[in-house]
Amino acid sequence: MLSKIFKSLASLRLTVVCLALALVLVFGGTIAQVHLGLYEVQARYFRSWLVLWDLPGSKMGIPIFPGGWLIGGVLLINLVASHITRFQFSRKKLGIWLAHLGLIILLSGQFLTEACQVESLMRVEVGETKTYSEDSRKLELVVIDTTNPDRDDVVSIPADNLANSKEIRHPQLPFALRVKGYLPNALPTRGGGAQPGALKSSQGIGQQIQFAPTAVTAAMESENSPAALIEIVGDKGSIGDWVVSPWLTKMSSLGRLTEWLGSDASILATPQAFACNSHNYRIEMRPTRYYKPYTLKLIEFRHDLYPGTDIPKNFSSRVHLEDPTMGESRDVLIYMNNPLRYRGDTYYQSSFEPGDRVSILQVVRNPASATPYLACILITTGLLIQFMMHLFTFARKNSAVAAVPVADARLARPASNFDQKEKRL
Amino acid sequence: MPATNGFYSRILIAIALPVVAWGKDGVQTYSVPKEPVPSLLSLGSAQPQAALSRPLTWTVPTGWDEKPASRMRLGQFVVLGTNDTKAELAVMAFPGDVGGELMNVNRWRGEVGLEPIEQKDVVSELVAIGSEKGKLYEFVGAQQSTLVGWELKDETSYFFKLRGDKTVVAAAKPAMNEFLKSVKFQGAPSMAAAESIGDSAVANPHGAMPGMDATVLPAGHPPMGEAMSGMPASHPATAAAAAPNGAQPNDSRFNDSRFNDSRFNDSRFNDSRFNDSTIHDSTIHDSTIHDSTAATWQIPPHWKEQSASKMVVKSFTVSDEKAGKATITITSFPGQVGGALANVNRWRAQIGLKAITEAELPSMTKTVDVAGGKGTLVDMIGKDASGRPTRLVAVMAPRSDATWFYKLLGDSSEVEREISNLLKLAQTARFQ
Repeated sequence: MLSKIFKSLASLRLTVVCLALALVLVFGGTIAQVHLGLYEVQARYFRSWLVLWDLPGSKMGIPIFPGGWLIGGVLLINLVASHITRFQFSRKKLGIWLAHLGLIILLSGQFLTEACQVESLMRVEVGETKTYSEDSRKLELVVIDTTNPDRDDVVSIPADNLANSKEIRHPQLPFALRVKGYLPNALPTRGGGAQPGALKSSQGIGQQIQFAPTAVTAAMESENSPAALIEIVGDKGSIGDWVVSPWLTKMSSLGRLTEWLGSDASILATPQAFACNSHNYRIEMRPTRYYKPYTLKLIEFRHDLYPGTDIPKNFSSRVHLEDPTMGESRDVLIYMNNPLRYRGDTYYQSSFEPGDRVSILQVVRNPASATPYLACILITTGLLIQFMMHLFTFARKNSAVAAVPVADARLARPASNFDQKEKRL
Repeated sequence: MPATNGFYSRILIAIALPVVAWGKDGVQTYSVPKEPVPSLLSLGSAQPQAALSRPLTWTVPTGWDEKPASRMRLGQFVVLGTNDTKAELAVMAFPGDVGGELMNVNRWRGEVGLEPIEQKDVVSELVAIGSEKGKLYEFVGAQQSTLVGWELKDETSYFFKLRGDKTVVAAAKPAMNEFLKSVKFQGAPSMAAAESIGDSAVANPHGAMPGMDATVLPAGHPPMGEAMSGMPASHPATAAAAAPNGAQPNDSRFNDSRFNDSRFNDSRFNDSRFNDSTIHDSTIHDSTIHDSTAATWQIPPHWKEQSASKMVVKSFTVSDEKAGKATITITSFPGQVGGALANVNRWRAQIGLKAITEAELPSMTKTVDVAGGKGTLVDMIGKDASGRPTRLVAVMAPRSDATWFYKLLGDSSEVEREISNLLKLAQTARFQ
């Protein structure tokens, strides 16, 4: 039975079907970007098992097409299965073996990358030391126990969890987080009385500012800023509710909010804090942080121009890497095509802020980063071997034909079409 | 066959396991060394003056101590009095009228401990703010008082707010008047300050990791990172490089001298990049932060586009030797922006006409077709500041979350020629 399944999984027909489906998926996904935007399409079409069609008027999704992971996964299984069932290792098949192995590694590497790669950004000001990078598209609700004077104990909950949760409990927290409201995209507003659907809290910033719902954006150049109303419920009942939103933590949003509030911006200076069981806590929604076991200090950021022009010549960040556990303490210059690779992280010069005092480094952690290299080497080597073997065989045959007299040569080779025509003549 | 069923089972399980384990993204706990709380305080740090591209200049009165500008303040000064008393003057620019006169007046009154008042009780005096006429408000509290100069120029409110000990503020009033006179407006405020802390993604058209508060590298800047190895081909960074699956950006193909490429000679990389139309995404009006949606229009070819300001999405001029000149502006604000009457009266005030009542409104307006529904057209003739006859035609086009305004202002004959184009503009709007 398994053998039959394996054979059908190894069929060439399945390969063709998968490739055809992939073609349609890429086409459909490309068209869908017009309305959904790049990131939504990536999530719905390519980083999914099934492409779902949202049933109008409901939250239910009906599968209408296999997603990228499903097609890629089946293709990978198909490749592995056909490799095992069809190909037998021999010297003559070495090239084919290597090329297929390269393809398998390429596909597996892509899956591994999808699963394990973490991309984030490190915004660091000259003189500042950073221990973490952030992913502004992935938000987290954090409850920080600030009681210890030296350390903060953080419980991080993916913000996406809030959309479908009513109550969140965690063993490290002596209270429950009750989600009283969640807006996938919100705008701060104030005055004009209570707005329909807006979140307003009894504690913290939400007393002065409401967060009103706004249309979710799929545009690549903009981001959604969700907001949630979280009630803290301890053993003795409700402690209060707070509005959390990246508007209050993300540097970009906070800056706009501060400007908007004008002289009232001082209300933002007070963190949203509360006490429970003799512990002090802070609650906020912020870009997901990835802490590092080492520190980077920006010593200098350079934004060089060609003399007499505004044309950029060079962007570079000189950072000091400090890692006591590994005995590292050195300066590193990060510039185009010269990233810092350290402990699985790669830091690229990505951006900067006006004023040339803030450098933005892209931080990529991809345990499968070597797989494309390996795959390409294997595929190239395999194809080279295969072609060379054919070339040598062909050359050998040709030289054998040239070595015998014409009459014998005709006898020596099978009758070709040309020979047939000759005979007819 | 080189294998048995058990062999196949093991392979299937090996493939299935990582698939099943996929996508776990749960709650995490960790402990980190104590960090300073991110707050307004961190934003208020002094920013290099050059980065702010200040839209104003002024002459600092003797005895005033000028402090570095910050992201929030175009300028700030400390005025010292006797016995450790002092006052602080902050120069700020905000789009629009920031909620209107009454709301601001009552906010300022509240700051010095005064009760809110009604519109009819608002008192201000006309003062010279640079070459413009602005308003000066004075609020005297029990211990503190505030002087606020307010100039609404290019749909931007400039506030000059001196607040502090009442004796210091009172003594500094003449110097404040001189200071206001010395102000020179350089044009619409550059968004360098605001946009740098704004949605950088707006100015990030070529796929350099959106989302952080950054100026992006120039268009066509070689994409960064191993990210590409993990990105689908459709990802902008990968697409830009057209790299084959898995190809790395450190490949020699990327080690070229593309910085010399003419693509980098565009204007996006100098300071004027902050004055483009993307800026209206950070438009703030009334009491809501507004993200207006990107839109496109069919623009008549003879309209000359002008640089848009912080509040103006698009701005054009038209001129004719005989008919004269006119300007066309497109703006967008959240909600209904006070409704048709408030806006009509605002425009009437601009051309020296008296306000009308709700009952008079229907006779002054006309319903017209606009993109996505119906809009309101208003046509008025008044006089500009120099007394010249001026005609103002405007279309208000409400959408679900915002109102778009198409305004044509100028010499009557030229405005008459362009009314049809203005209507066409409102009808051809396409919103993303």
